Amino acid sequence: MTHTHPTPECRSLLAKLSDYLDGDLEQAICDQIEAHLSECEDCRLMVDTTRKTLVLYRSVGRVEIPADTLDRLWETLQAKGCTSPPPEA
Amino acid sequence: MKDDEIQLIHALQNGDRAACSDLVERYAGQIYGVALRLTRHPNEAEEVLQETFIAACRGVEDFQARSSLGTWLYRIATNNGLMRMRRKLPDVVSVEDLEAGGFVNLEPGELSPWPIEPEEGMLTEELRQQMADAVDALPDTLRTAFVLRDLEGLSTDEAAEVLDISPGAVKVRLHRARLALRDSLSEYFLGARSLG
Repeated sequence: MTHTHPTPECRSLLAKLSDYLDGDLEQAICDQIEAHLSECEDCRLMVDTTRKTLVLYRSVGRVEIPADTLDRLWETLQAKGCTSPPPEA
Repeated sequence: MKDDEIQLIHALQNGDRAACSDLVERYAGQIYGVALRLTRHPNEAEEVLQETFIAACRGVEDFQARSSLGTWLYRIATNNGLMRMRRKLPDVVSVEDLEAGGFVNLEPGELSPWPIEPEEGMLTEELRQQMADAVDALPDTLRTAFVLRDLEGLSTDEAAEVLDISPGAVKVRLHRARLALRDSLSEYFLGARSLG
């Protein structure tokens, strides 16, 4: 199912969706959006699934640098005269 | 900027090799992370990592304290990573095309409830791969904004400094990236449900 009857309010919400989810909008605009959401199921789904998208991606966490990659970085920088010998493990 | 960062910059500018080591200890993990997410390949990411710190330790006299050290390193790494990607895949799409909405459908796709509550910590390996593939499929400009802002956790202003664009342009790119990723995950979840 796609948005069946996008109104100007729906399009306005879509344009502000990121800012709304980031908490970057003034309270008066949030109130308008929430009033619209209370009446529009499609827009509620849009907000909910976009919020879930962000929650999922943020739950992935940081990439860990592999130990051998870090070792080779130290070796390279030392060979280039950029750093002192690496700290003892 | 914090006092210890100012001291580190002064030490780096005086050619202090221990300061370069300090820089590596503080930022290597973050820089590797963004390099891997941009290049999508561990060997490429390692080369970006090395080149970033060589450039930083050698070029620190050019550093201007308008941005933080971290933001400066992100900028070197991001430019390096994108340059590598563009060498592999000639960029026939201009930034202007992308800003105009090319390649990203701004109309929402599938609108049905997702059969998941992501707070419940249900990241299966298949879902992780789907999420990674969806990011990889974004145009460079959108992917970079999303990686810096939503995956690496930079602020809008920091991402704008790294990319040398306005905060407003970061927001536009981020918005388009998020909508595209939502559509991609929606297809995945609803496809999985129809199979189940």
